Amino acid sequence: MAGPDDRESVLAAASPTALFGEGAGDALSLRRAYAALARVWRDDDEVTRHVRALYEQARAAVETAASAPTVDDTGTPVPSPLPPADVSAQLMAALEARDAPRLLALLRNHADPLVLRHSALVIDALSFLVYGVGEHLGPDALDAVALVTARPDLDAPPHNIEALEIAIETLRALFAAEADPEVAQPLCEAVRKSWFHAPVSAARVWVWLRGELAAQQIDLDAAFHHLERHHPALFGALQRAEIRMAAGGEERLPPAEARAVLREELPPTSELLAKTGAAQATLAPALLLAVLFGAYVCGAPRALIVGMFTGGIYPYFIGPLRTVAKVQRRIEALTSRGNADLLALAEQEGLWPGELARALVPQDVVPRGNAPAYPQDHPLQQLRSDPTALLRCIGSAHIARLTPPEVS
Amino acid sequence: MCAADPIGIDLGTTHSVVAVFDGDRPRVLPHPLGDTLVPSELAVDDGGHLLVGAPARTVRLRDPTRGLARFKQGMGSGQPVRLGDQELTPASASALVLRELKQAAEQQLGEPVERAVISVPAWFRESERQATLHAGRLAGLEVLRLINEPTAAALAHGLHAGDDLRSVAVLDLGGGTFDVTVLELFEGVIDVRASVGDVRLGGEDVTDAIVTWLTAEAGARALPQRAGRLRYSAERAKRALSATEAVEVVRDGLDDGTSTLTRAVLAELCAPLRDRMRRLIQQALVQAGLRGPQIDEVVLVGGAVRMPLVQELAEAQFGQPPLLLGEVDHLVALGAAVQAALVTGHEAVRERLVTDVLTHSLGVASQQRWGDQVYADRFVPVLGRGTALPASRTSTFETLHHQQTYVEFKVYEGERREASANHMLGTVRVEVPPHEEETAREDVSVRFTHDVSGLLQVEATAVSTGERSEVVLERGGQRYSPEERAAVAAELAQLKVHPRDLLPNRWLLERAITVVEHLSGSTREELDRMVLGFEAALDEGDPQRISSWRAPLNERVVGLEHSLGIEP
Repeated sequence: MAGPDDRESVLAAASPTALFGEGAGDALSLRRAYAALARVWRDDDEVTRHVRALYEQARAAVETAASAPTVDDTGTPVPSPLPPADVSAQLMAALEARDAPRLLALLRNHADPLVLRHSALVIDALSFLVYGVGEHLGPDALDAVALVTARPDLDAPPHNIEALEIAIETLRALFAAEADPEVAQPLCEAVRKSWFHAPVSAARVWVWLRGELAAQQIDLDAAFHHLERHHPALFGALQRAEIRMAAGGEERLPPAEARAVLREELPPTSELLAKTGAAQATLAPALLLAVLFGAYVCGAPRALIVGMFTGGIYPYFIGPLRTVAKVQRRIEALTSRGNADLLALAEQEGLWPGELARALVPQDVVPRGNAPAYPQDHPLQQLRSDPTALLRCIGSAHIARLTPPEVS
Repeated sequence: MCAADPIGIDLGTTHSVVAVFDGDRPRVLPHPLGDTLVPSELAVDDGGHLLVGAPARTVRLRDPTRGLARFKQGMGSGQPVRLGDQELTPASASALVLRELKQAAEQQLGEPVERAVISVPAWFRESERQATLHAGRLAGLEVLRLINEPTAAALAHGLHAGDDLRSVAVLDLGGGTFDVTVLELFEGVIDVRASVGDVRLGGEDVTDAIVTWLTAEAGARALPQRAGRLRYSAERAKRALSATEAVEVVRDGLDDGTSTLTRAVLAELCAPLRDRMRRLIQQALVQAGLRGPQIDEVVLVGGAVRMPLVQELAEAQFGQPPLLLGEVDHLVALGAAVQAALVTGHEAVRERLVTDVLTHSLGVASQQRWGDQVYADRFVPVLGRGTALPASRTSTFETLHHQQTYVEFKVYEGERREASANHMLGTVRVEVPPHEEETAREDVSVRFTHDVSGLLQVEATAVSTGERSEVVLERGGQRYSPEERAAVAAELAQLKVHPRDLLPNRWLLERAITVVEHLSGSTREELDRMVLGFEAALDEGDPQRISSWRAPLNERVVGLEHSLGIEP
C-alpha cells in the first residue's frame, strides 16, 4: 500500500490494491481509504486523477462482486463469478445464457468499460435485449438500454444503431399505448406476441388478432386512427408488419382471370390520357380556326362552318368526352362494389394487400402528377393506403404460404 | 473597508437567492424589500427607469410588454431579448439581476462584495456556462467557481449528514430547468456519481400547460397586454393545487369566465412533462449504476417540487417518499455559499470534499470506417459524460492519407453521433510528416485534461516525431475579451436604473396601480386618489409628505392584495 503522504509512491501505485491496500475490499473501507487520500491531495490534480482512476476500478470490482448471483432462480448454487475485472467475459456468458436481467445489470453497472473496449459485444447484448426480449422489458429497463444505445462512443455501424433506435422507439410507443385506455389492446398484444418473430409466427398472431378484433367488435378504422394520432411509432410498426410478412415469401400474382376482369374495367390511364390529351391539344386551334374563318367570310355558306364543327370538332372534342364519361361510369361501378371483392380475393389466394395492389395496378396505370387520377375512394387507391387492409384479409392461406415446406 | 467573504448566488430562472458562509454555517441574505427570493425579472417604469426584482415582476404581470423574465433559458444562445425599447443579451440581463443581488448583499453585510460562487443547472453546456461567468463579471464580481445546482443543494444538505455511506438523489425542478443528480455521501465526502438534466423543463412549463388549457376552455386567445394576467391566474392555480384537490380558475385576460382545474386534469396536462422527468431520473440512475430502490434518500430542491405530481413521480421512481425540506428554495444558494467557503479554505469546511462529474462528453470529430463504408463527421468522445473531475484521457487516431502534412482536430461538447450536431469548442492542429508509401499512416494522439475549475486542455501529438500542439479552452471568459466585456459594461451603465433608495416607494406605487386595476366603484376611486397623492408626493421629493402618504397607502394596498388574492 502506498504511503498517503508520499506523492511519488501514490503515483507509482499501479493497482487499486497497491494504493488502497488489501483491506479496502468492502464498499465502506474502500471509500474511507479513498477519502483519506483525496483529502490529502485535493489541490494536486495529477495525483487526484490517479487516485480517482484506481478508486473507480476498485469500486467497480467491489460492486460486481456484490451484485453477482450466488444462487439461480431455483435456489441452486451457481459457480463463482468470473474475475470482477473481466466484465466482458461476464457479458459474453450472460449473452450465451440469454440471461436478460444479468445483461441489463452489467450494462447498467459497467457501461463505461464495456462500451470503451467491447463495443461489438455490447451491440450483440443490445440486439438481444431489444429484438429478442424487448417486449418484456419495462420502461425503466428500456431507458437503460436506450441510454447505452445512444452513447456516441459506442463503436458500431450507424445503420445498426439506427435500427436499434427505431425498435426502441416502437417499444416505447407500445408501452405508452398499453397504458392508454383509448387504445384497442388486442393491437398491442399482437405487437407483443409477434415482436421480431418469424414471418409465419407473426402471420399466425395476426390471424388471431383478426378474430379477436371481430369478437370484441372493435372498429378497426377508429382504432387505427387513434394510433396514428397518438402513438405514431406503434402505428408505423403495424404498417411495417405487412412488409415483414410479405418479405417472408415470394411475390405472387393474383389469378389471371381476376386480373383480366379488373383490367377490362380499368383501362390503363395512359390510354385515357392519349385520347383526352389529343383532344385538349387540338380543341383550341380548331375552335380558333373555325371562328376566324366564319368571321373572315361573313357571308360564306353556313355549311362550311357546320362542316368545321361536325367534321373537325366532334372527333376531337365530343368523342374524348364520351370516352372519359364511359370510363368514369366504370370506375364508379367498381367503386360502389367497395374493396370487399379485392380483399376476398386476397384472403382466398393468400395475397398481401400491397402485393395485390401492385399486381392489379401496373406502373402505366398509376396516376402521376396532375394527370386524371382514380378517385381517393377507389378500391385500388384504398387498398394501397388502408393500414387496416391486412387485418381485413389475412387468413390460413397466408399462413400456409409462409410455412416452410417440410424436408424429408 | 475590507471586502466581505465571497457570496453564493443561486441565479434561477424565476427567482434568485444570495447567501453567505457566516461563522460555521451558511445563511441566506434577505433582500432590502423584504423577501429572500428575488424575482429574476427586469422591467421599465413609466419614466424609462430600469426596475429589477419584485418591482419588475409587479410591472410585468400588469403589462408584459414592459417586463422581461425567463431570460436564463436563453443564456449562451446569442439571441437578444427585448426590454422596452432596449435590446439586451440574456447575459447582460442576468448581470443586472446579479448586480442587484450583489448590492443587496453589500447592504446586508455592510462591506463590499467582490467574489462569488454562482450556481448553474448541471445540464448547462459550455456556452451557457460562459455566458453565466460573463454575466457575473459584468456585475462586478470575481466568479470563483460555477457550481452545479444539485451539487450545491447536496453540499448544503450534506452539511447535516452523518458519516454513514448513503446514496442520495437530488431532484432539482426550478422554474425553467430540471436536474437529477445521484451522489454518495460518506464522512464529509460528496461524490457525484451522475448528473443529467434538461434546461427546457421546469415549473414554468406546467404554467404554460395550464395557460394552453385555459385558452382552449375559453376558445379565445389572450391579448398580448393581458397575457400577463392570464399567466398569473395559471400560476396561482398551479400553486393552489399543491394544497387542494381542485381550484376554480378565472380566465383572466380571456373571457373572464371560470374553469375548474383538478389535480387529475393537471396530471393529464403534465403527462408529457412527467414522462420527460421520469426518463431523466432513469438516465441518472443508469449513469450511476443504481436502481431506484437502492437510493437511500431523495431530496427535492427548487420551488416547483411543491407540486404533488413531482412528489408522486419521485416516490414512484425511488419507492420512498422524497424529502421536501423547509428551505427548498434556499438550498442551492446555501450550497453555493458553502462552495465559496471551500474554495477560500474556510476552516469550518476543511473536511468537506466534493467531486463533481462532467455532464457532457468532450471529444473530437473524426471519420470512421465500417467495412467498405466511410462515415464522416463522427463524434468520438475522449472524456465521456459522467467522468469524475479532474480527469485526463488520451485517444489515438491515424491520418487519412499518406501525404497528409497536418491534422486539425475540432473539439466538440455533446452527445450526438454527428460531430457537427454538437457544440464546437475550438480546434487544435498538429504537423505530421508525409509518407512516400501509399498505405503508410501517421498516428496522432489527443489528450484531454479537464480540471475542477473548468479548464480544458487539449494536446495533440504526432506519435512518430513527438511534434506537439496544445490549446487551452478555458470554460468561461475565452469568448469575451476584456475590451468586449468593457464595452458591454459601458452599455449597461447607460441604462437608467431606478435609484435603490427610492425602490420601496416605487414598488409600493406599482403594487397600488395593480390593485387599482382589479377594483371598480368607490373603492377604486378611493385608492386611485391615494395613488395620485403618493405620486405627487414622490414628484415633490419631500420626505415628510412621502411618508405621510406612504403609511396609509401601504396599509390599504396590503389589505386589498390579501382580499383580492394578489401576490405582492
